[in-house]
Amino acid sequence: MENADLFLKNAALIALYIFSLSLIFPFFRLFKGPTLPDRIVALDQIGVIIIGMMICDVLYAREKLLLDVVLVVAFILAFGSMIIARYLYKQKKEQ
Amino acid sequence: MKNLILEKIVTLFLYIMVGFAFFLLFRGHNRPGGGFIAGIIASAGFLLYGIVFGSEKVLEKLRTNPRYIIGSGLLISFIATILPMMFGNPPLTGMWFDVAGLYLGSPLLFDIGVFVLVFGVIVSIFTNIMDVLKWNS
Repeated sequence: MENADLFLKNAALIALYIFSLSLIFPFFRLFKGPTLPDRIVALDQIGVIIIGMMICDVLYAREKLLLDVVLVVAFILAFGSMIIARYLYKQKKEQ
Repeated sequence: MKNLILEKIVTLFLYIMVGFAFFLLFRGHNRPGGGFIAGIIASAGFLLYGIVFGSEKVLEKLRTNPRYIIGSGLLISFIATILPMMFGNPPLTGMWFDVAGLYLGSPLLFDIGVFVLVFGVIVSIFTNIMDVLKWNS
């Protein structure tokens, strides 16, 4: 039982390192991105990676309360990018 | 522009958000949660609903002017403030009652007042901004 617990903790820690390394690429796209849709996709990707980091922290620290934060952030992130994409489409049609 | 999938999902999402806000409201005071966060989450659901359908539909859904919501929130918090004074305690003292097996108190009443107040303030701010900027779809 304790062995499995230790394995889960170490796996969550390693996944946390990999997630934080992979955060570099969307930030690069966010600052360099030639067009606005590139930046919006990069923001969405940053949000998804941060949700993954929060879940790793839940597994590492055994703190179930952060799952509520994950729920709200995931909802607002998905709908935010959907609605920004809708306005970009509208703007393109008006031009 | 009509988008059937977005409209249906946003309507479902509104009910999920308001239900989760009530869950956070009643979990407050002992564990993370409380009136302010519950008000912000409920008004975020209405904000997304308003971005998709327009601000008139939000006011139709609320069935009242947001100003009355602000006023009723202030009134509920005021009642929670002066309720302990009727029993001879200083104002804002926490009083706990055993109502039908549930252990309710005046902090819950105060939190409900804060929830209604924050919800009304944010809804009135964003409906006014959407009216001024003509963001109605």
